[in-house]
Amino acid sequence: MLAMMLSDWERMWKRKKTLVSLLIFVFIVGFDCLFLSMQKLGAFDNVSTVPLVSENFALFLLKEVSFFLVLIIGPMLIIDSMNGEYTSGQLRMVLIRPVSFAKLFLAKWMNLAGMLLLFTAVTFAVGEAFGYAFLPGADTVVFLNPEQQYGPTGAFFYCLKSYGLFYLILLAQLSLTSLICTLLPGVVLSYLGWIAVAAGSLYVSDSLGFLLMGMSTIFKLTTGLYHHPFYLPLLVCLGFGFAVTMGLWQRRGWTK
Amino acid sequence: MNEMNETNVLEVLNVSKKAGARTLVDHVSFSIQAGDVCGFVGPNGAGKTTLIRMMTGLIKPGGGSIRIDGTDVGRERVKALSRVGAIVESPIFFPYMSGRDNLLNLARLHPNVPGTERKARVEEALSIVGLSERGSDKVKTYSLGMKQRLGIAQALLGDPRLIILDEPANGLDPMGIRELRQLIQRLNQERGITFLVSSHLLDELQRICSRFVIIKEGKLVWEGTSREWQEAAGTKGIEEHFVEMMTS
Repeated sequence: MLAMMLSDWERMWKRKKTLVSLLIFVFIVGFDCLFLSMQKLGAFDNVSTVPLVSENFALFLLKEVSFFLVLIIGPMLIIDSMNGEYTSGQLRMVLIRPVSFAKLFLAKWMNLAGMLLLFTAVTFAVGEAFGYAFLPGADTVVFLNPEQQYGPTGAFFYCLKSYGLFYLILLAQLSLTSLICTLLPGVVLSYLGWIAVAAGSLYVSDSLGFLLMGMSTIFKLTTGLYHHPFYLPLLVCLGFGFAVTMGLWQRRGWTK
Repeated sequence: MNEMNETNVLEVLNVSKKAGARTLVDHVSFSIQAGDVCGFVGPNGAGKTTLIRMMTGLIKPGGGSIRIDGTDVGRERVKALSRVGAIVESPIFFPYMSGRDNLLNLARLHPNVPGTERKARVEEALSIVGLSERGSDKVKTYSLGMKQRLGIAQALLGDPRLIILDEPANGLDPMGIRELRQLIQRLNQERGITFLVSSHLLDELQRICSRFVIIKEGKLVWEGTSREWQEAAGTKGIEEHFVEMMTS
């Protein structure tokens, strides 16, 4: 299993796309830091805003870059690994080895989970560092619910929890996109498929809104203002996508 | 149905495969013994690649079974493929990596290649196919012939007893074809590796193969030794005999 993960991890980083994505992402995070710090205000939605301070900066930075992760970087990395390698015929060299197809999927899923964690952690680290370096501090901060006040430590863990929840949403996206990649025959169709699922989920149920409107959901959830089930739909997306895709990888015919 | 034989490296037992209503492979049975170089012949669309995909576990037979060294590919694929190397259709590598890095990456996936031996195995494989000097170049700069040779190198990584080559001479010039022939003969004689080689180049196959398996429209139409094949062809020659078999 470790050998499969290392082999896939190595290929992932040898693809220029991965390193270029990370560099572009770091640039965007840096640009958003400057953009946000000039605004002086952090907006939860069209109505609710709070002054930007060291303690809440990382949270609003995540809001700014979340769409980029959910709609561009995340799908690109996932589709490249789960669909692109196979449809280009390159994965055949791996598939003809004495390896279990289910374990190969697991190795890819875990590597992508690691990669998404890296992107999330980079955002958090840059957000905290920039916030404490360049923005004024505050004794207490409030988030979407003005009645809940947090000291610096409380605010740090609030932000950390929000990042953790966002990472869970990315994992659900990873599982669903993996399934889409397995069912659709090309990278472009897979990307359109993910966009269709993310946007379409808004029409299916409000409980699935986190797939596209992740930060809005997290803002409300962490302040007790979210009135739909969150963990159950998220875990269903994560578990269902993962289990069905693994089953398909084990049973499908590899014809490319 | 074939009896299980201890010296059989590959046994294809009553294998069938359908795609919708179309029958791709129809109750095919044959076996290859250790040390054979077997020519796997048939016109385009006869089902050769489909059978090779089933031998490597990429697709499952609709009926029947395939055994490698006595292990059922469908039931214990990982064990069955532990000593098998293959090229299925054209060898497509990771173009953004060098030939050497491709082999190092793939060698990780062989349980019988310890980490301490990985580099040595890769260098040996590159040396066997004559790619040591170009090993550090990106695969996207390789000619078709070099890619085919790298394809043989990757098939050698797991110390195979059986190598399956699907149209390995595709796109090769006459010199490349001769090099490939010599390589197969050397690996067969010096290392005792058994080969199943699918190709349309009957004369080339006749030079290296000890036996032939011929299929047409998904069915086995002839199986036997190279000598029997030549005797059956008689004065007509093997090409004319093959054409007659395929058009009759």
